[in-house]
Amino acid sequence: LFFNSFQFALFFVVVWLIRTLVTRTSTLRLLRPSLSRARVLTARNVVLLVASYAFYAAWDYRFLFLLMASTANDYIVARALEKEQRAPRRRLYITLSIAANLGLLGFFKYYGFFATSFAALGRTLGVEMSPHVLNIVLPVGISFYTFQSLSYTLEVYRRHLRAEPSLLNFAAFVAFFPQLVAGPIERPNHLLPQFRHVRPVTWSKVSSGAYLIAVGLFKKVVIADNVARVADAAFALHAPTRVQALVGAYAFAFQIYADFSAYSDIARGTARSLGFELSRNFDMPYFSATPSEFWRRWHISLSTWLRDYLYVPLGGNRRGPARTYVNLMLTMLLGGLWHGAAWTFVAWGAFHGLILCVYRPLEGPVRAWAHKLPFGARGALHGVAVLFFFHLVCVSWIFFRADGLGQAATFFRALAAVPTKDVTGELLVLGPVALCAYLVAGLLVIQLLQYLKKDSWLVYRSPVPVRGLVYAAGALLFVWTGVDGGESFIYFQF
Amino acid sequence: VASPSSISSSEPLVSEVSRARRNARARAPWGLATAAGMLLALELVLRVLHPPGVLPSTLDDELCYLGVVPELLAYGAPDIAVVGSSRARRAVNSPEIAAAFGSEQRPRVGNFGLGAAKAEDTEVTIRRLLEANPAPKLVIWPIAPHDLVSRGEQPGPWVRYLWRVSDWREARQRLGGRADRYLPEALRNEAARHLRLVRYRGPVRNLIEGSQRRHLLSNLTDLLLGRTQPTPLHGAIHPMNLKGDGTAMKEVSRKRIRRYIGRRSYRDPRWPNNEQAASVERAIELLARRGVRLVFFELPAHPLMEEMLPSGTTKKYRKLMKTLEKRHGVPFFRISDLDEQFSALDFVEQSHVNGMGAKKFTKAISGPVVKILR
Repeated sequence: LFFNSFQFALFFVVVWLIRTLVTRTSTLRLLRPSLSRARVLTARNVVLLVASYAFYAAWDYRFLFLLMASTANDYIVARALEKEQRAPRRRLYITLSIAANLGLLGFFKYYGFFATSFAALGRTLGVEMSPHVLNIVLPVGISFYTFQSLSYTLEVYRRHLRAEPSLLNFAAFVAFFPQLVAGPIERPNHLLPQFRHVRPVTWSKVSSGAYLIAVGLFKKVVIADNVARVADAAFALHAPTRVQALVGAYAFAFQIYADFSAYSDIARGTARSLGFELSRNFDMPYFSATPSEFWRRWHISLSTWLRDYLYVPLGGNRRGPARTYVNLMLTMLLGGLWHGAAWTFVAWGAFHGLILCVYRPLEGPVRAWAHKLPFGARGALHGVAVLFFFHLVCVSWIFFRADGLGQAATFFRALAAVPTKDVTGELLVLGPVALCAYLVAGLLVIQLLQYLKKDSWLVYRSPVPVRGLVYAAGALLFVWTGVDGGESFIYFQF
Repeated sequence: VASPSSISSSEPLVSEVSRARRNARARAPWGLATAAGMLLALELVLRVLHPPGVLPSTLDDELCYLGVVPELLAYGAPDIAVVGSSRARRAVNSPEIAAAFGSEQRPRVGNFGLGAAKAEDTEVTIRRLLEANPAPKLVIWPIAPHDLVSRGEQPGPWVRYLWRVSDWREARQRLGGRADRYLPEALRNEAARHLRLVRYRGPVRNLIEGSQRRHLLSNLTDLLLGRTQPTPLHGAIHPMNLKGDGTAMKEVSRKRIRRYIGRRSYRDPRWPNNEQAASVERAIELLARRGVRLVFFELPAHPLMEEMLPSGTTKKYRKLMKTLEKRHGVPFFRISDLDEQFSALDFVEQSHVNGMGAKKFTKAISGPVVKILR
């Protein structure tokens, strides 16, 4: 059930209709006059839970039991944490929750990676080891729901949140289908209370939700899937030229952004249409001038999770500069590994950690110096900084997309090579480069306006003729250049 | 708290009324309505101006599939339609077939051979041709073992550009949910029958993607002024066949052919009795039902390719074609039945004939074609 498939559209319409019928107390009271508001709430949450489990089971029903087990475990642990006053016991309970969640993640996601990596290390040291590699299928969304569930027990442990008394509410929170398989990783303080009330679904919510869904579908079907053809073609080359490597890296940068932010938009849109608010996961990240700004704009729910539950507990920046750099590197390395069990993701995390460490001491003095410059010069400097940092991000995407470190090295060698003369011929091999260039340029123009006006709802709030023109152009592009076939979202693999 | 005494509590305040009106105005989806109006206006402009609108790619890639439906909707079916893969597209020069009938009865001939097409793609092309009114009088299908290579339980990647909803429904009965990914394109094709805006999606994509080779503005001017390049679909000779003196050749090596044959299904003991053979049979039945004549011609094969195909491939393919000939009375001409001999010099690479080869093949099949239609 991909968000960009007809099956999902049908599924969503059915769920929306049932949810709307159930939450209209007047409709239910026709059947049972003594119905209380609490019963209506329960009925709605049952509908959402059943829908979420059905949505998850559509991939592989066997892993549904894993999701249920994880939910039950954290529900019980949180209840115990709530009642328990003794610190050692509380530490034991939270360790149990962390071990269960990370153990689950470790077994399904990292077992094979570590087994083969240790065997390879052994071979280099002269010790022959034959790793017992299991052919384990990675359950969809495991990285997302374990982190979401874990943040709940951690918040209860810190006494920032009371344990949820209703198992139904908690299960619906963990399994909420719009964000179950690829986030945003919701915080319990934000999403869980929304399962305790029935908020009216107003026309403005439905309309803005539909707008978010349309924007997400456009980004996925028109931009991401077209750009993916270029990126895939470039990364399939054994010996790319400089131009091909450059275009491939740019293409993947826009593919992953359009793809992942599309998923988040559709998730927010579907949730909003059902009366829920999900947190924003992307905020025009490619307009960041520094790495710390980038991580405030890119995959916000993961970066804030890592900040609050890893970087800060490690000591953050409170234990001196040396420890701060160690903490930054560690956080980014684990953030990279969270994406997948491969050395390329470790390298990606390490690269981001490194640029965070390099930028950190420079940011303050450069900002102070820039403030003394005239307005125009300051703007130009900011533009250069954004452009420079975007290219650093593109370098990191080469690690992320490459099949292995060898392929990444091939790409870097190609980027450093002397350019050839037959640029047109080299680009033709990559497929619809011109089409993608126009699409990306259009996306950047709209985002630049949103960035300058500091309003991500700029199009939605624009005057009717402008809005009409954008909608008409979007519809035409959707029909003319949209890639069909319900291609999977990149972040489903994590 | 004071309240306006002149207004009774049951009457709404003026400000409340105006706010309610404002809200109602805000609630109405004016943006969507404006967009719909703009699209409708553009549709009307296209209908009034009626630009040629058919700019199928001359390249053997997916864009040539996008040209089939617009061509048929704009110009109808030709009297004689050549169908098949890119081998057929390159091997048959439509104007030379038409010339064989003499100047008085010169029929309209179009070449609907499509890049990488298998029999299932050709079957759907035939379905679209048969929907035209009038339908073609004769369908020529130059066929090779390559047309019968199995794709397994998966529809071809570009066949969706030819599908209508009925094709999706039929494929769904055979393939189940695997056919669903092509439903959006089938719906677009259905919409293209009524809306020019949707119908021209091929030309538009061609226009944009073509700007990698030529400037976007020159492409746009050509499209608006109707200076479209004649294409095989519309009865022109494939531009590659017009290059130089027609004897273009690329290196053909054993390694290349081995890679080309790769893991194709020829080695399957059941080959060629697969879903592609079923498509050929369905196409024969469809044409017979409409009373449209069909003729198969064996396509010439590069000598090295013929040698390297798994043993018995050509024999099995000829046997299948002969069986179909007997069962349905559809003539099948082997290369040896034609008055031409082909050598490696007639091929541009291991699969396609060059300009010279196309001339020879077209000349060879013209005689039987004229005889059948007369």
